[in-house]
Amino acid sequence: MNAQNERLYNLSAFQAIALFSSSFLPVMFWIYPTVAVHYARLDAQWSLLCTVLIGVFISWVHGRLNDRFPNMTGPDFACLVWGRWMGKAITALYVPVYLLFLGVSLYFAISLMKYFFPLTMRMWLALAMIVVAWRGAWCGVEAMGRASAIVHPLTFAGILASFGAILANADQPLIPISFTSLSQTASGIYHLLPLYLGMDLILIVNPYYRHRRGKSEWYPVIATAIGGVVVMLVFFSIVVNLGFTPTERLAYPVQVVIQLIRLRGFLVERLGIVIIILSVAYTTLFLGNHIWALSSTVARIVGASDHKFRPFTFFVAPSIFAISQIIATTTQARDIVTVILAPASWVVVVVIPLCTYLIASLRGIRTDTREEIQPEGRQRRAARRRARRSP
Amino acid sequence: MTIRRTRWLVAAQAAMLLVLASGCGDYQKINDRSQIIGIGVDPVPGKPDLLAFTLQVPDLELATQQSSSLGTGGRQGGESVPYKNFYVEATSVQSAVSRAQTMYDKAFFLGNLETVVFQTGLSERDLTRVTEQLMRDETIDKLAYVVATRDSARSVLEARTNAPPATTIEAMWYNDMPQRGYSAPEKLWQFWRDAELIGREPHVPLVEATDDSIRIEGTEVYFGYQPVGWLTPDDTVFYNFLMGQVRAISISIPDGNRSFDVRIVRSRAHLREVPTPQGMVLLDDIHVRANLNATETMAQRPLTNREVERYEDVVERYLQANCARVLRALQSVQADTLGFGYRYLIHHPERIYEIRDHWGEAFGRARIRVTVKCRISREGNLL
Repeated sequence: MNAQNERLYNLSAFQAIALFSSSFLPVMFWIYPTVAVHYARLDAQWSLLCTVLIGVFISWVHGRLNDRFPNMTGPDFACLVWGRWMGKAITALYVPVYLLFLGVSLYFAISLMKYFFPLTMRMWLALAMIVVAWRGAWCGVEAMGRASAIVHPLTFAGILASFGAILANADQPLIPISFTSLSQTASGIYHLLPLYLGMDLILIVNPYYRHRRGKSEWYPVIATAIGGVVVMLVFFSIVVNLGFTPTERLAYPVQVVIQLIRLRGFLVERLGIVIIILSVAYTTLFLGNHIWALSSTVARIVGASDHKFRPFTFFVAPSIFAISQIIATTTQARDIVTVILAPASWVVVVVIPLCTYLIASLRGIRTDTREEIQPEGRQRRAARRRARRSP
Repeated sequence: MTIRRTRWLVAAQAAMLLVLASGCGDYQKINDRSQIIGIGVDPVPGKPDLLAFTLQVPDLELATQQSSSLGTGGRQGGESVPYKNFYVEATSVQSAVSRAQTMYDKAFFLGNLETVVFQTGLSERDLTRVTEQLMRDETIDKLAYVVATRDSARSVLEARTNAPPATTIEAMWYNDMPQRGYSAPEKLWQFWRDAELIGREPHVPLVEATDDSIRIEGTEVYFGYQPVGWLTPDDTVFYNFLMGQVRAISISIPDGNRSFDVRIVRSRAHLREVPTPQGMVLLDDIHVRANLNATETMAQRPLTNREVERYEDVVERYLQANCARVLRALQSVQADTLGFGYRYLIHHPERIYEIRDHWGEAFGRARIRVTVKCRISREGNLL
């Protein structure tokens, strides 16, 4: 904020959407087809679709929450709505969940890099990614927004092209349409929500983008819709090539299916390495985003300004690295995801923001009627300048 | 912070990051590695726990010593690479590779595996185990071709071909042979998928080693991991018609005591399964587009439209009878390699356990209906 008490908008709409889009997916992206087929059998595509729709709805709630309190970060308006100590307690709940979730994402990312670097120690792969992510987070949200605006569209285009080609390669594209059982689908939805874990970064980025009534609440929705397209496309391309039951046996189905086709004459012949390059860039960006966001959250919990997040990265980044090294095997990581992160994501992504929004609406708490963010802000700014220049 | 201090700090951080960039300490030169291009698996008589593995590697040292004797036999720019075989008895693929490493000075790696040869006498347990090992290893090339043989896998990989036998086998299909009909190739991942999939069974080309080449002898059909029967190459053509995978081959159609030749340009098949109270009804609609190669009148009389339509009818009847026969042969061994069961599962996903346990019998008892539609579109130069 400058001397004229104006809100500076650091992120454009495109950067904001790209930043939101690169804040979820990596924790489950590599394993979710196996999880979906394991819990929902042949209803996996329905539970995935429902999960995407739930994610889209919840992101709209996040967008509305943000628009309701346009110049405050998430911890601030949580305190406003829930009361000071309850708000801090609720925000403090996010910290261990997100640390665990980021550690597991880093673990999965380096497990996949081991396909290509089987003799390199996991520690060095993790160190490489976390140091770059930390350096990025140190630069602040503007830099992360600019990086997201480059990396995310590239990754999206790469995934669309590659998995579209894999989908077209199947000899018998067969997807079940009929719906078998509600309990299986519900079990699938319950276990698949961690796909959207990380979405609450939207609440921390709140003060940094411009809120326009009726427009900015849709930025998170666009981001989750893009994520949903990716999730469905990759799932279908895996399942039409491998069938449902064999998919359940694979540890990392996305990685396996990339190795199954060799596109001769296509732009890129060896798809696997391109996907790995894109996904490493995406995961590093994702980690950087969350290191910044979590540090800002911790800063707000202890009462420091969110612009002074840098000292708190010294807590967040090493914790993520440590958690990724403590996890021993893939099965342990998957157990963490299904047993701890699945219920935690329901609480943290769905229940808390919904309750916050409901309580805020019922009690009529909002801060978007304050003077400095009225739509006539521009003219008022000019008026203030003229007033100053007059002698 | 002054600009100079910032620059020093950034330079220090970049230097630290460079430390992470040097990952070539354990680099292995490509001359020191040897790729295993073929694996052959034979059972060991008298020792049910062991398997006899034949590991084939290209011998690149010998190839560089030969100067101009490449290009013999009409081959340009040699695939004339000699090879070496290693014969090991072991319980698993990876332990066989480790054992064979004691006999060679280059490091084996499996990233370019081209062919896997299974002997048809392998027990179900052995075949399941070897396939699991091949699929589980992350570094093995899953696009390797799987073939079966009734002789020993060792004899196939010892065939006297110009290129290593494993490369010859892979090249039959990898180079996207423009014609497809007498063989039904299957890659390693497809073999695993068909064996594990509910409602579909794997099939694998049968090969044997002849005097100077490798010949495709038909198709071996499996039920899970158990071989249950085989089709001759002619029957494989009809099997490929049932799957809609015939492309650019010429066949002779008998018509009474005369015959004519057609060149099948393309074929498509549409599978359907209809459950009725009396059992399943399996339908297969085949569409064939063909060009005329030779007529019954040997071009002594000009061809008429009615004649062409009669030829189309003859082709349809011939293909329909033979495809139905091949499908009934598959039914007799309950091997649903066409995937009717999986289609049924997709349309009725609530019956998953029933299909998993009883589809073999249902397939064996089903009624079949094969219809063929042929269109002869070109007659060539002569009328």
